[in-house]
Amino acid sequence: MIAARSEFRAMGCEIVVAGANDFELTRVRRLFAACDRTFSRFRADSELSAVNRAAGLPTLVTPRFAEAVRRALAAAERTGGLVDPTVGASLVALGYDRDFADLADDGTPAARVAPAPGWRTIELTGRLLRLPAGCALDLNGVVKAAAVDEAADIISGDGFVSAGGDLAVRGPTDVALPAGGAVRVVRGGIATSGCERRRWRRDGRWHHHLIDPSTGRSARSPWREVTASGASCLDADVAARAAIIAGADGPAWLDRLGVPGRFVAHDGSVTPNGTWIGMVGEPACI
Amino acid sequence: MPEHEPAAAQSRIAAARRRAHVAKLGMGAAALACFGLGMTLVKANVAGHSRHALRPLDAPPRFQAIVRHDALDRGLLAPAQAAPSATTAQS
Repeated sequence: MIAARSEFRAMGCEIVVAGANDFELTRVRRLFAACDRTFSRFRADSELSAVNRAAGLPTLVTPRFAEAVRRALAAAERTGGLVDPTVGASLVALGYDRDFADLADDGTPAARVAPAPGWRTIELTGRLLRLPAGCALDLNGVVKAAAVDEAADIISGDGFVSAGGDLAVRGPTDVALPAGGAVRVVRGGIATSGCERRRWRRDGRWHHHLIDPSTGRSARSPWREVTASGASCLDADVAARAAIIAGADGPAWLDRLGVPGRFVAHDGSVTPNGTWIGMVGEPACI
Repeated sequence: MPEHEPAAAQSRIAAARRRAHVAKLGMGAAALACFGLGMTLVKANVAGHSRHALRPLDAPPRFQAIVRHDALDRGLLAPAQAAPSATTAQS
Protein backbone atom coordinates (compact mmCIF):
# COMPACT_ATOMS: atom_id res chain seq x y z
CA MET A 1 0.00 0.00 0.00
CA ILE A 2 1.50 3.29 -1.12
CA ALA A 3 0.68 6.13 1.31
CA ALA A 4 1.91 9.66 0.62
CA ARG A 5 0.95 11.06 -2.75
CA SER A 6 1.72 14.51 -4.11
CA GLU A 7 0.88 16.25 -7.34
CA PHE A 8 2.35 19.31 -8.99
CA ARG A 9 2.78 20.71 -12.48
CA ALA A 10 6.10 20.80 -14.32
CA MET A 11 7.33 20.46 -17.91
CA GLY A 12 3.82 21.14 -19.18
CA CYS A 13 2.19 18.16 -17.50
CA GLU A 14 0.93 16.82 -14.18
CA ILE A 15 3.58 15.14 -12.03
CA VAL A 16 2.42 12.57 -9.49
CA VAL A 17 4.81 11.30 -6.82
CA ALA A 18 3.76 8.50 -4.49
CA GLY A 19 5.72 7.07 -1.60
CA ALA A 20 8.19 9.92 -1.14
CA ASN A 21 8.92 11.64 2.17
CA ASP A 22 9.14 15.44 2.37
CA PHE A 23 12.88 15.56 1.72
CA GLU A 24 12.62 13.24 -1.28
CA LEU A 25 9.64 15.18 -2.62
CA THR A 26 11.62 18.42 -2.48
CA ARG A 27 14.44 16.80 -4.45
CA VAL A 28 11.96 15.51 -7.04
CA ARG A 29 10.42 18.98 -7.42
CA ARG A 30 13.87 20.53 -7.88
CA LEU A 31 14.76 17.89 -10.47
CA PHE A 32 11.74 18.62 -12.63
CA ALA A 33 12.19 22.37 -12.22
CA ALA A 34 15.82 22.07 -13.36
CA CYS A 35 14.80 19.99 -16.38
CA ASP A 36 12.15 22.56 -17.28
CA ARG A 37 14.67 25.41 -17.06
CA THR A 38 17.20 23.56 -19.19
CA PHE A 39 15.14 21.80 -21.84
CA SER A 40 12.04 23.92 -22.45
CA ARG A 41 11.49 24.92 -26.08
CA PHE A 42 9.25 27.74 -24.89
CA ARG A 43 11.70 29.59 -22.64
CA ALA A 44 14.09 31.89 -24.43
CA ASP A 45 16.57 31.52 -21.55
CA SER A 46 16.70 27.71 -21.60
CA GLU A 47 19.85 25.94 -22.68
CA LEU A 48 17.87 24.14 -25.39
CA SER A 49 16.79 27.45 -26.91
CA ALA A 50 20.39 28.69 -26.83
CA VAL A 51 21.62 25.52 -28.52
CA ASN A 52 18.93 25.73 -31.20
CA ARG A 53 19.82 29.37 -31.85
CA ALA A 54 23.45 28.35 -32.30
CA ALA A 55 22.68 25.67 -34.90
CA GLY A 56 25.53 25.48 -37.36
CA LEU A 57 28.16 26.37 -34.78
CA PRO A 58 29.91 24.17 -32.23
CA THR A 59 28.49 24.74 -28.74
CA LEU A 60 29.82 23.64 -25.36
CA VAL A 61 26.82 22.26 -23.44
CA THR A 62 26.37 21.28 -19.81
CA PRO A 63 26.94 17.65 -18.80
CA ARG A 64 23.19 17.19 -18.20
CA PHE A 65 22.39 18.48 -21.68
CA ALA A 66 25.05 16.32 -23.32
CA GLU A 67 23.67 13.27 -21.52
CA ALA A 68 20.15 14.03 -22.74
CA VAL A 69 21.36 14.36 -26.33
CA ARG A 70 23.28 11.11 -25.97
CA ARG A 71 20.12 9.37 -24.75
CA ALA A 72 18.08 10.86 -27.59
CA LEU A 73 20.64 9.65 -30.12
CA ALA A 74 20.64 6.17 -28.57
CA ALA A 75 16.83 6.11 -28.78
CA ALA A 76 16.96 7.21 -32.42
CA GLU A 77 19.47 4.52 -33.23
CA ARG A 78 17.47 1.76 -31.52
CA THR A 79 14.22 2.82 -33.22
CA GLY A 80 15.76 3.11 -36.66
CA GLY A 81 15.20 6.86 -36.59
CA LEU A 82 11.46 6.72 -35.79
CA VAL A 83 12.03 8.74 -32.62
CA ASP A 84 14.25 11.55 -33.83
CA PRO A 85 15.35 14.57 -31.75
CA THR A 86 15.74 16.82 -34.81
CA VAL A 87 12.00 17.40 -35.30
CA GLY A 88 11.97 20.69 -33.34
CA ALA A 89 11.71 22.84 -36.47
CA SER A 90 8.79 20.73 -37.76
CA LEU A 91 6.88 21.26 -34.51
CA VAL A 92 7.39 25.01 -34.75
CA ALA A 93 6.41 25.06 -38.44
CA LEU A 94 3.19 23.20 -37.60
CA GLY A 95 2.35 25.75 -34.92
CA TYR A 96 3.51 24.08 -31.67
CA ASP A 97 5.70 27.05 -30.75
CA ARG A 98 4.37 27.89 -27.28
CA ASP A 99 3.12 26.11 -24.20
CA PHE A 100 0.37 23.68 -25.14
CA ALA A 101 -2.22 25.45 -22.99
CA ASP A 102 -1.69 28.64 -24.98
CA LEU A 103 -2.17 27.11 -28.42
CA ALA A 104 -5.14 28.36 -30.41
CA ASP A 105 -6.12 28.29 -34.07
CA ASP A 106 -5.63 31.95 -34.92
CA GLY A 107 -5.94 31.33 -38.66
CA THR A 108 -2.20 31.58 -39.21
CA PRO A 109 -1.26 29.21 -42.04
CA ALA A 110 1.16 26.44 -41.11
CA ALA A 111 4.64 27.12 -42.39
CA ARG A 112 6.14 24.88 -45.05
CA VAL A 113 7.42 21.71 -43.41
CA ALA A 114 10.34 19.57 -44.55
CA PRO A 115 11.68 16.19 -43.47
CA ALA A 116 13.70 16.38 -40.27
CA PRO A 117 17.46 16.78 -40.79
CA GLY A 118 17.92 13.42 -39.07
CA TRP A 119 19.71 12.34 -35.91
CA ARG A 120 22.85 11.34 -37.81
CA THR A 121 23.52 15.01 -38.62
CA ILE A 122 24.08 15.78 -34.92
CA GLU A 123 27.74 15.89 -33.93
CA LEU A 124 28.40 15.29 -30.23
CA THR A 125 31.90 14.85 -28.90
CA GLY A 126 32.01 14.90 -25.14
CA ARG A 127 30.23 18.16 -24.31
CA LEU A 128 30.86 19.74 -27.69
CA LEU A 129 27.66 19.74 -29.73
CA ARG A 130 27.07 20.92 -33.28
CA LEU A 131 23.70 20.91 -35.01
CA PRO A 132 23.43 21.49 -38.73
CA ALA A 133 22.26 24.98 -39.67
CA GLY A 134 18.48 25.27 -39.47
CA CYS A 135 18.12 22.23 -37.20
CA ALA A 136 16.21 22.51 -33.90
CA LEU A 137 16.21 19.90 -31.19
CA ASP A 138 13.14 18.69 -29.32
CA LEU A 139 14.25 16.67 -26.30
CA ASN A 140 11.08 16.99 -24.25
CA GLY A 141 9.98 13.35 -24.47
CA VAL A 142 13.37 11.90 -23.65
CA VAL A 143 14.05 14.38 -20.87
CA LYS A 144 10.66 13.98 -19.21
CA ALA A 145 10.88 10.19 -19.17
CA ALA A 146 14.50 10.26 -17.98
CA ALA A 147 13.49 12.68 -15.22
CA VAL A 148 10.77 10.25 -14.13
CA ASP A 149 13.39 7.49 -13.88
CA GLU A 150 15.74 9.74 -11.93
CA ALA A 151 12.93 10.83 -9.62
CA ALA A 152 11.90 7.22 -8.97
CA ASP A 153 15.48 6.50 -7.93
CA ILE A 154 15.22 9.27 -5.34
CA ILE A 155 12.32 7.53 -3.57
CA SER A 156 13.69 5.21 -0.91
CA GLY A 157 10.59 3.09 -0.34
CA ASP A 158 7.82 1.66 -2.51
CA GLY A 159 6.10 4.18 -4.73
CA PHE A 160 6.01 5.57 -8.22
CA VAL A 161 6.57 8.75 -10.19
CA SER A 162 4.37 9.74 -13.10
CA ALA A 163 4.72 12.62 -15.55
CA GLY A 164 1.70 13.06 -17.77
CA GLY A 165 0.95 9.37 -17.39
CA ASP A 166 4.46 8.05 -18.03
CA LEU A 167 5.43 6.02 -14.97
CA ALA A 168 8.43 4.51 -13.25
CA VAL A 169 7.71 2.27 -10.27
CA ARG A 170 9.54 1.34 -7.10
CA GLY A 171 7.84 -1.87 -6.15
CA PRO A 172 4.85 -3.51 -7.86
CA THR A 173 2.14 -1.01 -8.80
CA ASP A 174 -1.26 -1.59 -10.40
CA VAL A 175 -1.82 0.87 -13.23
CA ALA A 176 -5.05 1.74 -15.02
CA LEU A 177 -4.81 1.53 -18.81
CA PRO A 178 -6.34 3.61 -21.59
CA ALA A 179 -9.67 2.26 -22.92
CA GLY A 180 -10.20 0.29 -19.72
CA GLY A 181 -8.39 -2.45 -17.85
CA ALA A 182 -5.36 -2.45 -15.63
CA VAL A 183 -1.97 -4.08 -15.39
CA ARG A 184 0.57 -4.66 -12.63
CA VAL A 185 3.95 -3.07 -13.35
CA VAL A 186 6.32 -5.26 -11.37
CA ARG A 187 9.54 -3.59 -12.42
CA GLY A 188 10.61 -0.76 -14.72
CA GLY A 189 8.24 1.70 -16.31
CA ILE A 190 5.19 2.05 -18.47
CA ALA A 191 4.24 4.83 -20.86
CA THR A 192 1.42 5.72 -23.20
CA SER A 193 1.77 7.87 -26.27
CA GLY A 194 -1.10 9.07 -28.38
CA CYS A 195 -2.12 11.57 -30.99
CA GLU A 196 -5.41 12.82 -29.55
CA ARG A 197 -4.55 14.59 -26.32
CA ARG A 198 -1.66 16.83 -27.34
CA ARG A 199 -3.07 18.08 -30.65
CA TRP A 200 -3.96 21.49 -32.01
CA ARG A 201 -5.60 23.16 -34.98
CA ARG A 202 -3.65 25.34 -37.35
CA ASP A 203 -5.14 26.78 -40.50
CA GLY A 204 -8.20 24.54 -40.05
CA ARG A 205 -6.21 21.28 -39.86
CA TRP A 206 -5.45 19.10 -36.86
CA HIS A 207 -1.84 18.40 -35.97
CA HIS A 208 -0.30 16.40 -33.11
CA HIS A 209 3.11 16.27 -31.49
CA LEU A 210 4.25 12.86 -32.73
CA ILE A 211 6.19 13.86 -35.83
CA ASP A 212 7.18 11.42 -38.54
CA PRO A 213 10.80 12.45 -39.22
CA SER A 214 10.61 11.24 -42.83
CA THR A 215 7.92 13.82 -43.68
CA GLY A 216 8.22 16.44 -40.93
CA ARG A 217 4.44 16.18 -40.43
CA SER A 218 2.33 14.67 -37.69
CA ALA A 219 2.45 10.89 -38.06
CA ARG A 220 -0.59 9.23 -39.66
CA SER A 221 -1.18 6.12 -37.61
CA PRO A 222 -4.01 3.60 -37.27
CA TRP A 223 -3.46 3.79 -33.49
CA ARG A 224 -5.03 6.37 -31.21
CA GLU A 225 -2.69 5.45 -28.37
CA VAL A 226 -0.02 2.90 -27.60
CA THR A 227 1.05 1.72 -24.15
CA ALA A 228 4.44 0.06 -23.81
CA SER A 229 6.51 -1.26 -20.95
CA GLY A 230 10.26 -0.85 -20.53
CA ALA A 231 13.08 -1.53 -18.13
CA SER A 232 12.80 2.20 -17.45
CA CYS A 233 10.24 4.89 -18.15
CA LEU A 234 12.53 6.19 -20.88
CA ASP A 235 12.58 2.82 -22.65
CA ALA A 236 8.80 2.57 -22.35
CA ASP A 237 8.23 6.10 -23.68
CA VAL A 238 10.57 5.63 -26.64
CA ALA A 239 8.94 2.30 -27.49
CA ALA A 240 5.42 3.74 -27.29
CA ARG A 241 6.23 6.76 -29.44
CA ALA A 242 8.07 4.69 -32.03
CA ALA A 243 5.23 2.16 -32.17
CA ILE A 244 2.70 4.91 -32.97
CA ILE A 245 4.89 6.28 -35.75
CA ALA A 246 5.59 2.75 -37.07
CA GLY A 247 1.85 2.52 -37.84
CA ALA A 248 0.30 -0.84 -38.70
CA ASP A 249 3.67 -2.56 -38.23
CA GLY A 250 3.85 -1.30 -34.61
CA PRO A 251 2.75 -4.48 -32.78
CA ALA A 252 5.07 -6.75 -34.76
CA TRP A 253 7.92 -4.24 -34.46
CA LEU A 254 7.64 -4.21 -30.66
CA ASP A 255 7.43 -8.02 -30.66
CA ARG A 256 10.68 -8.21 -32.57
CA LEU A 257 12.28 -6.13 -29.80
CA GLY A 258 10.61 -8.26 -27.11
CA VAL A 259 8.73 -5.22 -25.77
CA PRO A 260 5.12 -5.59 -24.56
CA GLY A 261 2.76 -3.13 -26.24
CA ARG A 262 -0.96 -2.47 -26.14
CA PHE A 263 -2.51 -0.67 -29.10
CA VAL A 264 -5.81 1.23 -29.04
CA ALA A 265 -7.22 1.96 -32.50
CA HIS A 266 -9.25 5.07 -33.36
CA ASP A 267 -12.46 3.04 -33.01
CA GLY A 268 -11.50 2.08 -29.44
CA SER A 269 -10.60 -1.55 -30.16
CA VAL A 270 -7.62 -2.88 -28.19
CA THR A 271 -4.82 -4.96 -29.76
CA PRO A 272 -2.07 -6.21 -27.45
CA ASN A 273 1.02 -7.58 -29.15
CA GLY A 274 2.28 -11.12 -28.54
CA THR A 275 4.77 -10.09 -25.86
CA TRP A 276 2.03 -8.30 -23.89
CA ILE A 277 -0.25 -11.32 -24.13
CA GLY A 278 2.62 -13.53 -22.94
CA MET A 279 3.02 -11.43 -19.78
CA VAL A 280 -0.49 -10.23 -19.01
CA GLY A 281 -2.89 -12.42 -20.97
CA GLU A 282 -5.59 -11.77 -23.56
CA PRO A 283 -7.55 -8.48 -23.26
CA ALA A 284 -10.62 -10.28 -21.93
CA CYS A 285 -8.56 -11.62 -19.01
CA ILE A 286 -7.19 -8.23 -18.00
CA MET B 1 99.35 23.83 -45.93
CA PRO B 2 102.88 24.46 -47.11
CA GLU B 3 105.17 21.41 -47.23
CA HIS B 4 107.97 23.19 -45.42
CA GLU B 5 105.80 23.87 -42.30
CA PRO B 6 107.18 22.10 -39.26
CA ALA B 7 105.51 18.90 -38.10
CA ALA B 8 104.97 20.44 -34.65
CA ALA B 9 102.70 23.08 -36.12
CA GLN B 10 100.68 20.44 -37.99
CA SER B 11 100.08 18.45 -34.85
CA ARG B 12 98.90 21.61 -33.03
CA ILE B 13 96.37 22.29 -35.77
CA ALA B 14 95.11 18.68 -35.68
CA ALA B 15 94.73 18.91 -31.92
CA ALA B 16 92.79 22.17 -32.26
CA ARG B 17 90.48 20.53 -34.79
CA ARG B 18 89.83 17.63 -32.42
CA ARG B 19 89.04 20.03 -29.58
CA ALA B 20 86.69 22.02 -31.83
CA HIS B 21 84.92 18.79 -32.87
CA VAL B 22 84.50 17.70 -29.26
CA ALA B 23 83.24 21.18 -28.32
CA LYS B 24 80.63 21.07 -31.10
CA LEU B 25 79.39 17.68 -29.96
CA GLY B 26 79.23 18.91 -26.38
CA MET B 27 77.24 22.01 -27.34
CA GLY B 28 74.80 19.90 -29.38
CA ALA B 29 74.29 17.49 -26.50
CA ALA B 30 73.82 20.38 -24.07
CA ALA B 31 71.24 22.01 -26.38
CA LEU B 32 69.29 18.73 -26.63
CA ALA B 33 69.40 18.27 -22.86
CA CYS B 34 68.21 21.85 -22.27
CA PHE B 35 65.35 21.37 -24.76
CA GLY B 36 64.28 18.10 -23.12
CA LEU B 37 64.43 19.60 -19.64
CA GLY B 38 62.50 22.65 -20.79
CA MET B 39 59.74 20.56 -22.39
CA THR B 40 59.46 18.42 -19.28
CA LEU B 41 59.08 21.49 -17.08
CA VAL B 42 56.54 23.04 -19.47
CA LYS B 43 54.40 19.89 -19.57
CA ALA B 44 54.49 19.66 -15.80
CA ASN B 45 53.75 23.30 -15.03
CA VAL B 46 52.03 25.07 -17.92
CA ALA B 47 48.25 24.76 -18.19
CA GLY B 48 47.12 23.65 -21.62
CA HIS B 49 49.96 21.21 -22.20
CA SER B 50 48.83 17.57 -22.09
CA ARG B 51 50.49 15.58 -19.32
CA HIS B 52 49.01 12.28 -20.48
CA ALA B 53 48.41 10.53 -23.73
CA LEU B 54 45.49 12.14 -25.58
CA ARG B 55 42.12 10.37 -25.46
CA PRO B 56 39.00 11.06 -27.57
CA LEU B 57 36.58 13.55 -25.96
CA ASP B 58 33.74 11.06 -25.77
CA ALA B 59 32.09 8.65 -23.37
CA PRO B 60 34.09 5.43 -22.96
CA PRO B 61 33.09 2.77 -25.52
CA ARG B 62 31.96 0.47 -22.70
CA PHE B 63 29.55 3.14 -21.42
CA GLN B 64 28.18 3.73 -24.90
CA ALA B 65 27.66 -0.01 -25.35
CA ILE B 66 25.73 -0.18 -22.07
CA VAL B 67 23.50 2.74 -23.08
CA ARG B 68 22.74 1.16 -26.44
CA HIS B 69 22.07 -2.20 -24.84
CA ASP B 70 19.83 -0.76 -22.15
CA ALA B 71 17.72 1.24 -24.59
CA LEU B 72 14.35 -0.39 -25.16
CA ASP B 73 14.83 -3.19 -22.67
CA ARG B 74 11.46 -4.45 -21.59
CA GLY B 75 9.97 -4.09 -18.15
CA LEU B 76 8.13 -6.75 -16.20
CA LEU B 77 4.32 -6.82 -16.28
CA ALA B 78 1.76 -9.09 -14.66
CA PRO B 79 -2.03 -9.21 -14.46
CA ALA B 80 -3.46 -6.56 -12.13
CA GLN B 81 -4.09 -7.79 -8.60
CA ALA B 82 -5.71 -4.77 -6.97
CA ALA B 83 -7.48 -1.54 -7.75
CA PRO B 84 -5.11 0.69 -9.75
CA SER B 85 -3.24 3.30 -7.73
CA ALA B 86 -1.86 5.01 -10.83
CA THR B 87 -2.87 5.70 -14.40
CA THR B 88 -0.97 5.72 -17.63
CA ALA B 89 -2.38 8.08 -20.18
CA GLN B 90 -1.14 9.58 -23.40
CA SER B 91 1.38 12.32 -22.82
